[in-house]
Amino acid sequence: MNCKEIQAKLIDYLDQGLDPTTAAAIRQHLETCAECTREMQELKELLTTMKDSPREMPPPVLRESFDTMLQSELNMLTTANIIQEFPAEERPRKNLLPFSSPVWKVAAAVILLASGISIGAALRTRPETSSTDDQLSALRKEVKEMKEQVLFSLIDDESASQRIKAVSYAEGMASPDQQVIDALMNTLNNDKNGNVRLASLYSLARFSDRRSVRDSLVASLSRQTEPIIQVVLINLLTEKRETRAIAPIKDILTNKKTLKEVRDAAQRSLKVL
Amino acid sequence: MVPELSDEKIMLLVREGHLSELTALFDRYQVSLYNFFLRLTSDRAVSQDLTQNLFYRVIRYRQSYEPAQGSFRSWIYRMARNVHVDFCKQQQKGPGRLADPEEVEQQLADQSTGYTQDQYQRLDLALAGLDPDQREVLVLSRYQGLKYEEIARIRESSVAAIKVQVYRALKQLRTLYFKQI
Ligand SMILES: [Zn+2]
Repeated sequence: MNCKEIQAKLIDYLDQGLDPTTAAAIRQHLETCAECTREMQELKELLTTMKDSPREMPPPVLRESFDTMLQSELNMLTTANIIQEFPAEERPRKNLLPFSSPVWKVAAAVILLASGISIGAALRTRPETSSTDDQLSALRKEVKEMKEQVLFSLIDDESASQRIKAVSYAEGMASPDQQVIDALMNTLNNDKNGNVRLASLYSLARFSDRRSVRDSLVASLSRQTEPIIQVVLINLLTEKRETRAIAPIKDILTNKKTLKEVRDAAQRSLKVL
Repeated sequence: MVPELSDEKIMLLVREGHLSELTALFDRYQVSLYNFFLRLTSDRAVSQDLTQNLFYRVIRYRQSYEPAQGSFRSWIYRMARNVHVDFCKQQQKGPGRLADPEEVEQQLADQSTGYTQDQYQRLDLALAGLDPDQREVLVLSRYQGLKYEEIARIRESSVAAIKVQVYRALKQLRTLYFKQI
């Protein structure tokens, strides 16, 4: 090898990416060639400095803004599961309001009413990932038990986003056992955070073909005061032609505190039932 | 205890709609990606924004993730690269706004006469003197420590071509760096 060929291999040489024979030949050449040795030393200093350059830690606010962004995406996804006509991709971000904002709640309730779409159908048509990938089915199997584990370990977590995570795991379960249903129901009725209760309701809606689940949903209707949850519950039970919901829906109608949008949903529902 | 999943498996869960899982990937990658942008832009606030934009895109384009096409790492770096390119277009200054070689040489010359400079700072300055494409390939290869195979996937090129690019970029960097001493 001449100097030019040697120099072309110096990076690999320093990375120790050469076969022993070539490396030995270069080592031998370097012993006698001052120019190549200088080049090698400069390269080495450069590579070492780059490798050892200190990394900067991003400020904590980066993580916080990620959490906020993720939370609003989660809320949007949840809504998109119901309102399929508005694919998440196309909705401009600036329209996003924090989920806790009353404006958002009413807006969502209005959209739900205006579009008059069927919640059950929307939930069923939610993309289940059509992939028949072996890898994917193996993964599903692998995470199935993990999901239950996560659900039960997070459902009492202090952080609301962790509790949402917990209840949304149930969505992926084909046939959750009663213990899971009870945990979801307990969250729907008792969680102090509206986002978590709603997420829990969406998960439960997937299993509303079970009579026992509908029983509990009917019972839950009289406990709920959050407008969006009332609307989703009313629409869901109406779609399931759950006549036992008539009485609690009438109660909601007679309650003076009931929001107009909820009242409208209740009236429409009574016509159907 | 919840078992640790690979990046690829977590991303598959995200693709399936378990968005919260992305938090784990954010925690694994935020430091690297923030520093990736920082090396390219030399601007902390911009690097924070770009990191945030990147994860927003990950959510938006999660359906495009295909594990058969390589590691999660090369997928997200390819996206990071696009985020940076878009940012540069937005600035309408082209990606090389730091890279006026004459200016950098002048800065380096000014410094070499004074007190001893921190070698990392000198390297940063020299790096800024490279053209943006060379800077990127070196950041990926040497600062981020990615393999040639991964960089080839990220830049949609071949391993051989990447090796040549790294070689040329290092040669240029060496000239700039050692000029100062
Ligand atoms: Zn030589």
